[in-house]
Amino acid sequence: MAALLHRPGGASRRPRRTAPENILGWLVLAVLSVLVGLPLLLVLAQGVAPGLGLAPDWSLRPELLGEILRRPLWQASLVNSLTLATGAMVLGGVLGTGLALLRHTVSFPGARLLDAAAWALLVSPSFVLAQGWVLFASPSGVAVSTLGLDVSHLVFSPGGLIVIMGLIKYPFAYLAASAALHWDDGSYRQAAALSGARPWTVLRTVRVPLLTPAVVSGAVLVFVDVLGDFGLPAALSAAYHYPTLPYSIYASVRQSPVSFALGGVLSFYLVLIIAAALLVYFRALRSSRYDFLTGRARRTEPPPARWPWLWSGVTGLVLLVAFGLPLGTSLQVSLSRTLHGGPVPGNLTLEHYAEVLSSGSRMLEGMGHSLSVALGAAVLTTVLGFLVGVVLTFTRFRARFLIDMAGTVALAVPGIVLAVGYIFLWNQPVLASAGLALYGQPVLLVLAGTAAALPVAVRLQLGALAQVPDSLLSAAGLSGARLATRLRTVLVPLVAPALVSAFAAVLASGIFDLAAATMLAPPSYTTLPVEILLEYDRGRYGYATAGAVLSSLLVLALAAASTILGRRLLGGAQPSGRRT
Amino acid sequence: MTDQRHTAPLLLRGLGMRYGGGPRVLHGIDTEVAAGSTLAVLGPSGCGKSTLLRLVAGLELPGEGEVLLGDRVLSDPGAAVPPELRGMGMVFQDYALWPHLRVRDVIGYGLRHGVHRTTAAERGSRVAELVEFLHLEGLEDRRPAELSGGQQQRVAIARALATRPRLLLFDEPLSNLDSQLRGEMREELAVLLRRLGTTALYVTHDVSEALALADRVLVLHEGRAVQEAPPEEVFGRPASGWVASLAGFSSRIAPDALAVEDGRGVAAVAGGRLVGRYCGEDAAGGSEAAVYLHPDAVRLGEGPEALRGTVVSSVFEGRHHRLRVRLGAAGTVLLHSASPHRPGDAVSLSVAADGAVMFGRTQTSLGSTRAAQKQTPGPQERHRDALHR
Repeated sequence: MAALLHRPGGASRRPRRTAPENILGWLVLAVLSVLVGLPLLLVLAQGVAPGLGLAPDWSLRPELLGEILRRPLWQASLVNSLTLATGAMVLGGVLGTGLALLRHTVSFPGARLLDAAAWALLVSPSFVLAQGWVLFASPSGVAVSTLGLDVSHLVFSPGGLIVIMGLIKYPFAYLAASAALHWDDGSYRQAAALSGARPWTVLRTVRVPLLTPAVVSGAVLVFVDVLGDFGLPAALSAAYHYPTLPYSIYASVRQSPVSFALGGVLSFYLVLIIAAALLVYFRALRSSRYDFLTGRARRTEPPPARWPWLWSGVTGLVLLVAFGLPLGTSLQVSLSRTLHGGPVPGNLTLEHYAEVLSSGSRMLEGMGHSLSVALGAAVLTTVLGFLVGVVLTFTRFRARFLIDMAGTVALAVPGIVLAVGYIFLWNQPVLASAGLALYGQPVLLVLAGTAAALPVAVRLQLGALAQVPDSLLSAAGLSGARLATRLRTVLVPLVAPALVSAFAAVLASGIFDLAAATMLAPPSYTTLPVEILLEYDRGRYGYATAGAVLSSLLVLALAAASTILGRRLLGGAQPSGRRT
Repeated sequence: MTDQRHTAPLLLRGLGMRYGGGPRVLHGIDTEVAAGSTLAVLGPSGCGKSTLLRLVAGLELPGEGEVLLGDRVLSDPGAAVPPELRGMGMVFQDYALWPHLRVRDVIGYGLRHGVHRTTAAERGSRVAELVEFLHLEGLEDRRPAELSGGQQQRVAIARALATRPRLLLFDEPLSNLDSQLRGEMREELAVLLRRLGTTALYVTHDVSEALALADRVLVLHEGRAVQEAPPEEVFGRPASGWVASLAGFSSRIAPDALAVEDGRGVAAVAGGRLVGRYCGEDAAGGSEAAVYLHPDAVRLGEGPEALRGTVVSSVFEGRHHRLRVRLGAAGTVLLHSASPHRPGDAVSLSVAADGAVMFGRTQTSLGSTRAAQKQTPGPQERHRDALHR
C-alpha cells in the first residue's frame, strides 16, 4: 500500500506557465501555416509581384491585375468561370433543394437512394464524370451509337456545360437543405397551424424562412466548387474549347510558355471571388442558427406519399441522368472495341482491362503511385484532422480562430490554386539551400493531398468530438493522465469510428486527386489521374475508362475494407449502450 | 480506507475570475478548508460555484488570487499546475464515466496511466479494495451504460479515491439522481466523507445536501461569498434574507413592527405576533424589517397571538395540502396543511420560534402596534387573489 501513497508530480512549487494544450495549439497552427497559409499567401503575392523569391529580378507590379481587362484569354476565362458557376449554382441549387424537400416531405420507395447518390456523386472525381459526359455526347459518342441521338450541339455549349455541372454538383445543395430539414422540428409548424395558419401560410411564414439560410449556403457551396473545378475543363479540353480560370491557371504554369505572373493574377481573382462568395455563405450560416438542434428537435420520418411511384420514378430519372449516364457510358466504353461501334456483341471486349492489368502497364504503375500517395495523405490528414478537432473542441487556445479559418480556407481554395501555391513555395531557392527542395518529389503530392483533404477530415471528426463531454477528459486529467495519454486512452477510442471514416474518405478521394497530380507530380512519376487523362486525350478511350473503372472498384474495396477492419478492431472498445 | 496523513488543507486567497471580456463570475473568494474537513459551496445555478470548483481542479485559470493545497501554490493569475499534477480526485456532475471502459478499468485508470502509475498487482488490489468499500462487487466487468444511476455514482467516487487524492472535489454529484435515491446517496456520502477524513470541497445548490455533508458551508451569491459558517449557523442565523430563502425560509413577509425582547425577535404581523430569531441587519443591505418563515414551522390553529389571513390557493401534494395564505398587506405565507381549504377561507396561523428569522430595523417595543387590526384585502389584492384560484 505504501507504494500507492506517492505524491504526484515532483516538487515544483510554482505553477507551470505553458499548458500542454497551448503547445499543441501552436504546433497545429504551425503545420497548417506551412500546409495552407504560406502557399496561399504566396499565390496572392505572385499576383502583384510575379517571380517573388523565384527569380532574381522580381518586382512589385500591381498593374498586372488590371491586365485582365485587356487580355482576351484572361477575360474569357473569368467570364466563362462566372457563367458556369452562376448557372450551375442556380440549377444545382434548385435541383438539390427540390430533391431535399421531396425526400423530407413524403416517404416513397427508394427515397434513401437520393442520400446515397448525393454522397456517391460528392466523392466521385469530377473529371471521370465529365469524361463520361463527353463520351456520351460527342458526335461519335455513345448517344449516337447507342440511341441514335446527336446531342453534341446541346451539350457542348455553355448551357450544356451548366447542366452537366449542375448535375454533378447539386449534392452540395441537397445535403445542406437536407441537414436543415432532417432536424425540422414539427412543433414549429404545429404551433403555426394551431395558431390558425393554413398549410400555405405555414410554408411561407415558418418553413421557408427557416430553410432559406440552408438553401443559400448550399447554393453558394455549388458556386464555389464549380468555380474551382478543374476536372470538367480538363476532361473537355480535347473536345470543346471553353477556358475557365482553373484551366488557364493550369495552362499558365504547366504549358509553355510558362507564366507565373498569369497564374498568380488568375489565382488572385479566383480566390477573391471565392472569398466574396464565402462571406455570403457565412452570413447565411450565421442567420440559420435558430436552434435547429435543440434537444427537442428530432429526426422526423415524413408521411407516405400520395403517389409514391411517381416520386420513385422522379428519383430514378434523376439518378439515371446524373449518375448512370456518365458512369454507364464509361463502363460501356471500357467494354467496347470502338467508341462508335455501339453495344453490339461484336464490339464487346475485355482487352482494355487486360491491357491495364498487364505487367508493366503505366496505368498500373500510376495506380500504385497514387495509392501510396493517398495512403500517406490519409494517415497524415486523419491524425492532423483529429488534432485540429481536439484544439477546436476541447481547448481555450487563444489562436483557435486562426485554425478554424485555415480549415475553412482549405475547403474553399481550389485544388489547382493550392497546387500553384505549392509550386511557388517549394520552388523557393531559400528552401533548396536549406536542403528542403521538395519540388519535384512525390512527398509534395502527399502534403498537397493532406492540405486538400484536411477540411473534410476535420468536419467528419468535429461532429464526433462535439459529442464527447468535456468532463470525460477532465476526469482523466484529474486521475493523473497527461494530455497525450488522455487523447490516446479516452478520446481516440470514443471517436474511432469517425477516424476510420475520415481515413477511408481521404484515401478514396486522394487516389483521384487530379489537380495536385497534374501540377506537382514529377515527370517520371506516373499517377493514376494524369495517366487516365493522358490516354483519354490520346483518344484511347477504352483504355482510359477501363483504368477509371478498375480504380473506382479498387477505391470502393479499400474504403469498405478499411471500414470493416476498423470496426472489427474497435469492436470491443465501442460503448454498447447510451453514453453516461 | 481512512488516510489522514495524506490529506492537506485547501486555501483560497482572493480568488477571482471572468470569462473572456464578460462580467466577473467570482469576486475575491477567501476561505480555508481545514485538513480532513468538508466545505460545501452552496448557491443557485449561475452563482459561480462550479467555476470555483474548476479553478481548484485546475480546469480554469484564475484571473486573480491563488489556490494553495498544503503549502503548495497550485494556481495564480495566468498560470496553473495542470490537473494531472494536482493530486486531486473529482466526482463530476455527469459522473464522466468513460463509456468504452469496464468498471475495473475506470476505477484503475489513474493507477495505470499517467503520474500515479503502479504495478498491475498493486492496481488490482487497490481496485478490489475500492470495489468492496463502495459495494460494487460483481459489477467489475460491466460498462457504465450497464449500471444504475446509484452504481454509476459509486464508480465515480471509487475512481476519484483510487489515486489517494489529497483533496476530493464533488460537483453536484447527486443532482442527476431521482429524489428517493438522492436521499439514500446523501446518507451514504455523509458516512463516507466522515470515514475517509480527506479534505473535500462539495458544490451543490441543494441546501439539505450542504447541511448534511459539510463541516462548514460557503454560500455564494452572484460570485460573492455572502456567508461562511457551520451548517447549523447557516440554518439558524443566516447572514441575509437571501441566505434565509436559500436555507428554506421561503416566505418573506413585511411585519408591522419588529422588536427584540429578551434576546428574541418579536414581530407584529396581521393582527397577531410571532417570535423568532433576530439576525440583525440584512447583510445584503436594506434596513427594512423583514421576517422569513419556513413552511414546516407554520401551523393552522387558533391562539391569542395567532396571525389572521385568507387562503389564496390550496394544492393537494399527496401527504399534505400546500396552502398559500395572504396575511393582509404583510405578504403571503406558505404552509403544509393536513386538511384542504378553499380560496377565500379565513384561517389563523401560529409559527414555531425556530422557523422564523428576522432582519432589519427594530423598535424598542412593539407597543400599540400589537393591537389587532382587521384584515380586509384591498381591491388590488382581491384581484390578485382571484388570479390564484
